[in-house]
Amino acid sequence: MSGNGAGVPKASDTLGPDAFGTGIAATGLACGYGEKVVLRADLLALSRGMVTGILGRNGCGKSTLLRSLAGLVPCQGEVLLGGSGLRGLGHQERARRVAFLPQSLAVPDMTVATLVSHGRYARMGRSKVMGAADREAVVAALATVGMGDLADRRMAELSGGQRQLAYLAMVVAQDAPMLLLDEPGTYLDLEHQVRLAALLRRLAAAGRGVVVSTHDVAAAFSACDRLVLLGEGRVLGEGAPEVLAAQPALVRRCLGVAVAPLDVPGAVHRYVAVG
Amino acid sequence: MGLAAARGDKDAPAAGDRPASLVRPLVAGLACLAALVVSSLLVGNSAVAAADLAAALVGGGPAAARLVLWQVRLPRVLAALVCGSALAVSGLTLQVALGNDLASPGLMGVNSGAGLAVLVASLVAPGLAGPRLTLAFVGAMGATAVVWLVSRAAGTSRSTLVLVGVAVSSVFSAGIDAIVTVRPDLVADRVSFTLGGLQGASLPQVAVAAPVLAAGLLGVAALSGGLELLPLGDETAAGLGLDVGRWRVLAVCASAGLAAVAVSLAGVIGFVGLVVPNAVRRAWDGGVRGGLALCLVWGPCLLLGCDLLARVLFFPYELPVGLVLSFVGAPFFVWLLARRRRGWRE
Repeated sequence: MSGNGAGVPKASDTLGPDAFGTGIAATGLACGYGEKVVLRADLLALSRGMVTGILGRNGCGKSTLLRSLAGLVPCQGEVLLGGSGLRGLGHQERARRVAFLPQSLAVPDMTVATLVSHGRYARMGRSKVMGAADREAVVAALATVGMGDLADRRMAELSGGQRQLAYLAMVVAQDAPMLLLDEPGTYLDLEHQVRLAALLRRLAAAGRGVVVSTHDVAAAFSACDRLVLLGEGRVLGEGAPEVLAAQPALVRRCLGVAVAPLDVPGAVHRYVAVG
Repeated sequence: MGLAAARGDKDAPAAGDRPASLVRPLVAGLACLAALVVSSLLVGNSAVAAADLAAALVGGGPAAARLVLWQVRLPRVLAALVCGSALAVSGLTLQVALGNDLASPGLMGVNSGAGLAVLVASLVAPGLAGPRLTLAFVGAMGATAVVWLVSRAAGTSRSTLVLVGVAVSSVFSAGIDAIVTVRPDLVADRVSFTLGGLQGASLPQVAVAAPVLAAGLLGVAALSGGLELLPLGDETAAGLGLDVGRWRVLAVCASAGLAAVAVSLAGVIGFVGLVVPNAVRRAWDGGVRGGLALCLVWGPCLLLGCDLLARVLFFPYELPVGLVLSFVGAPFFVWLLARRRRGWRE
């Protein structure tokens, strides 16, 4: 898939060599579990400074793709993280380049601050004792997600949305240039979803690459800079939302619905899914 | 355990700091331990004056006092310190590594496995502490591997582990009973071997066990930074840079090694590895490393306390400490089974 071609104006402005330098690039990717290949991608580039949405039906391989790119499940093909081959990287070296947050998250018996401090694992020395820089990063990450005042609360005392934000602070504290988030909005109410989208935009604006998998079509088209459409076991399309929205047949093939721009002042989403 | 008081004692921490202070429960534990050590040295069947014992400690005093102190009471106290800390740390490590608060070397048959191996060692190389410890480790490792793999294949419930442990430990216990019946000369006291007892411990045995204990504790300490991440779930921990599979296997090995140290000294001793870690987890919620430190101190407290009880309860008769531990531990275990799962992992 040579998705960042000339026909995708917005994406091509920011893509280019950066994707292969500090983002994630994958070639000849075949990922799955054991012998069963769930998803193939000839060429996939995910770059910093933008929010990329991975869209597709249930079971199309969104999570598998993210896990493979994060190095958590083995895959065929080559994945470059910040220009280095994924296979040659140790676990902690990998975690310094890419942070991954799975969809289902435990509710550990610990405070928010402790949870966020675990994000520093790969940044700490062998003793795994936090230094001043680690503490600063934890405080900064809590402030980034707006959870500074809840730092001493226990995870079990928080709402689902707050817990998601706490975990997000944890991966922010990891300080990896690329963040891979598997369906981060699943358990969130609309208010928290809006907060999450704004937060992801801020992270991208600060130079990180944010990749989210989701099946919330309207939210993805509204909040992402770039979309990757999965279907039929491969990448069927990619590009800026406005470009893809203009190809209803493709979108319908991947997602079962098309999207239409929504011109309502103050609307939460700029697009709406149409049957 | 008296630790619950520490639960409310929270300093106002800076974000990212330890959420609660370790100092109070640690100091309380050390004070309790010191008191128990002194009482254990003073109390016993033979009436020896405290002053004579103190003199014996520095090499003076009457011969009888020196004999009682160096041959009987001190080895026993040191063995309790070694076994108590080994079992409590082993239990907590196992619970964190397997994400199951019911995991413990006693319930999982790890101790029985080590016990059977210790008997086999006595058959093969009688009287040698080295082979005894090595085979105890092999036995503990074997039992852990069987229980872990079978319970992982069998299901998701946290009590599956215990059920498989029951099955596996009854096989090992049958083996132990068979050997002890055929060769009663192998163990000095059958009851105190199969239930756990400290009276057989000698200074040379403690001297062999202590460095192994130290190595096991260092191993757990080296793993502890990564163990902190396991309560977040395997995938999250892996995303943070932890080699989850490797860490889990290493932690289970370290735990089995620590259980083997205890069994080689005091026989198949139960419940310390279940009661202490769970009590510590209820009292301390500041992470795995603090919990390990507390287990290190409170484990010997429980064992020494029960041993003291075993010695004075029916004075001048002595019970094996394992009997007292069963009276304390079994109700705790029932309570643990009845309550909802809670802990460092949902």
